Amino acid sequence: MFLDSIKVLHTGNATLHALPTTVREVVSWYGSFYSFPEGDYPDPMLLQEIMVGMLDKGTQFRDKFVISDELEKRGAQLQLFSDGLRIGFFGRALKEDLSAVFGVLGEQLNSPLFDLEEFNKLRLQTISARQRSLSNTRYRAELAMNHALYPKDHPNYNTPAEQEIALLEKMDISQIRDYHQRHIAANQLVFSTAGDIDPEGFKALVEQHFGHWQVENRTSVFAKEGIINPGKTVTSLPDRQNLDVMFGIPTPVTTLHSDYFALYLGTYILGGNFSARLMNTIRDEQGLTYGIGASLSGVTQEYAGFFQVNVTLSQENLEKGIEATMAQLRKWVEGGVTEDELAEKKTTLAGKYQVEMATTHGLARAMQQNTEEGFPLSMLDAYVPKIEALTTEAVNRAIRKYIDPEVLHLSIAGTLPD
Amino acid sequence: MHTAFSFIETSGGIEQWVHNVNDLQVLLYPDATAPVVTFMVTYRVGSRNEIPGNTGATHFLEHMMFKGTERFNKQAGTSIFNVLQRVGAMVNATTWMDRTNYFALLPKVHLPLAMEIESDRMRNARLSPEDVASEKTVILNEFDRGDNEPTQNLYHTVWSTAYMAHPYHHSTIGWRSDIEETTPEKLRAFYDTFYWPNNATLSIIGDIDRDQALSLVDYYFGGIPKSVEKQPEVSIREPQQRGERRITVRKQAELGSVMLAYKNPEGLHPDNDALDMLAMALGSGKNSRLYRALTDQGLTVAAYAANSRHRDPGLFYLFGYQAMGVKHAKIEKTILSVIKEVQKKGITQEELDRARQKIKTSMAFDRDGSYSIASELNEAIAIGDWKFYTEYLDRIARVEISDVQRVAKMYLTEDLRTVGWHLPK
Repeated sequence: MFLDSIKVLHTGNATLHALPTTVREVVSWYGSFYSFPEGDYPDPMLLQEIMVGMLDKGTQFRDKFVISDELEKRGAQLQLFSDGLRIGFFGRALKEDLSAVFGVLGEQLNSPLFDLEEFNKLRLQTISARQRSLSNTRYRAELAMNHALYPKDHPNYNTPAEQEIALLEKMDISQIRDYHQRHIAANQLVFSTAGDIDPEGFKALVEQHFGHWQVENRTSVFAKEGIINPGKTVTSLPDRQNLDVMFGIPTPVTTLHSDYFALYLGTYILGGNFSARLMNTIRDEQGLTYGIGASLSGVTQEYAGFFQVNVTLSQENLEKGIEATMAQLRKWVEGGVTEDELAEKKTTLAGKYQVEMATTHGLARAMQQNTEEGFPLSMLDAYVPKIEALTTEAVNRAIRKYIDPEVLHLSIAGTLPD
Repeated sequence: MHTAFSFIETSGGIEQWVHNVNDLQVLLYPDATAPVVTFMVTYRVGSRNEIPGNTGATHFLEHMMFKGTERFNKQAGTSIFNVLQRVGAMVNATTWMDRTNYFALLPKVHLPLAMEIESDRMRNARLSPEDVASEKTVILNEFDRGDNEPTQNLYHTVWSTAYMAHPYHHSTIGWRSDIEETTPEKLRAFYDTFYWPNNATLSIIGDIDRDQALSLVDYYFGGIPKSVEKQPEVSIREPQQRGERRITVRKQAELGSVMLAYKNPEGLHPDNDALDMLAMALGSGKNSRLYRALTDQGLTVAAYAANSRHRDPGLFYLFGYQAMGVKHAKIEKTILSVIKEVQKKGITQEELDRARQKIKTSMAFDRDGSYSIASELNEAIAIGDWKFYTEYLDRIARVEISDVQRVAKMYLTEDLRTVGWHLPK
């Protein structure tokens, strides 16, 4: 039982979940807080991304090379990332280095330098990276899907690379400083750690670096609804013989929605792994693709995401592959999943869960993700029984209720056949 | 002591056993941190063992192994993916230049199932014409996916230019025409040459009992005979390169990249240990020389160096992703000046210590979970000695800064260099 082994501690406005394991020396941790990327900025999500990118470019006490050396000489890993409505971090270090590495994290978040020269370098690098992405078929197919399904003020909307480049060219360092000042706060500040860990010692580190963080009352201003948008978007790119193809539809299902697990399991049966229906038919039987899968994307506890199918198709199989995928989608919705499929994927998910929990990294991630998705810690134990309790009726009802193959949006990116 | 096996040695907590009848090699590392096991079969065959006209055979065969056997196949409702994923296993296979591996990371109670499948497909793969035909288009799509990526295109073209005679000339997926012309007979011949217990190593890492694990191996694999013929040796040696080679790849993209590659010695050669340290000093992290000279100066979006160790001589290479408005020549010139600086003055003790510590910590991280260890062992087996993994820290501990400067001078020379530019068109 996970619940019996996890220590829940509080310090300041932070919550800490600590799970000591028998692994020697290694400690992994995740953490995150709500950043509410909104306000009077042209693109708060982009601003947040650049602000987070600046955090490892030096602090008021040490330059970026000294900080980098502090981590590299220990072989420690430390990453900060902008994750939609949250800002998150991941770390992994030897137990003896935990204090020093966690100290770097605290310093980066609390006292960033925001040097103008570094800002200009990062801006240029980001512009170059965005330009590079313009010729990537996967990115272009996803972006077109994203624009078809979401309004600009939805958290799942991504600004086109060309517009981001224009915004980056005008972005000012003062906006970065301002964003940091306004959006770094202890809103749902949570840490999850696993490994060779002393929970009280970890708590003391959190207290030292994050104990002074205050909660700031904010409410989200994002749009809630996606758009059902039947039709097709074609993004034509030269010199790309493999095309990325996506089918998508928004759903109203958040992680806390009563149909979430049923829709998740139904989607997994369709395209969750190598032995799921789509790989079984479109790849294994018909040989039309190297990769095809189905998933629920962009789902959080507050915002519903979308159902999507991704497939890569060579030019000569484009039409046939799209038709075959649509046929499977219709069959899945109309005929539903079978008892056998349900039983098989239930054991798959139960075993997969056990395998994913086999590393300190996996355990810390599971605890953190569970909390971010809005579940109590008891869900870590309840997850498998909850999946096992799902019936074919519940799964098929959820599929039919939320997925209509006739109104899916189709996005294609690559070089179209003549 | 298990009577069906001979104990060979222990290194780094990993035990090596060999089956007394069929010479199957077994590596065991018991670790009860979590109730899971990684079971991996590594066949000592890769694209290195292919000849012109048959390139991509190793990779094609890897795909075909999932089409199954008479016992495990889709028509019987027992496809390998279905059977293993049903119990939550993380399952896959990979092909590389010197090896092919099949693995399952799964709850420990299902270890016998993974063994049953691997033992069955070691000699009983179906390789039916229908399956070969349907898998061919799957692989061609995989080929097209890779071909879409300009960087991957550049990487393969540089290898092909650096190695003209040796099979490292072609990429693991093979040439498109060879994939198109593959037949079940060609694949069968390849399978019958290389898929034998005496050409394989089993790695069993995780929550296992040694005697039980060996008993299971004997039960499932003990009855498979060893091959009558020994696997053919790859005898071809790359002729001496006598001067710089240059290539360009023109492919649509917004920004290009630059790759400089130098021939290094065979994987187990001690000079590669110093080259590994050099690669880390040049290209790993913000304190690396390439980051400081290129990325931090706005010339590249990212830059790195790698020492690619293989059974036979491979490549030491440096890569820079062009930043907006920067000329390829400027990136190349800067990389060359970084190399020249190391050749002239060497690296610092601090750089060497940092590189060693990164590796030491990374190996401690490997012990957090069974898959990482199996994966590292797989690469060590590929270059010729599984103990390369367990002895690696000792190997790099012997490297001195003078060694790093020496290998930089010895291997990173103009005559051994191949330069590649991806030019967006």
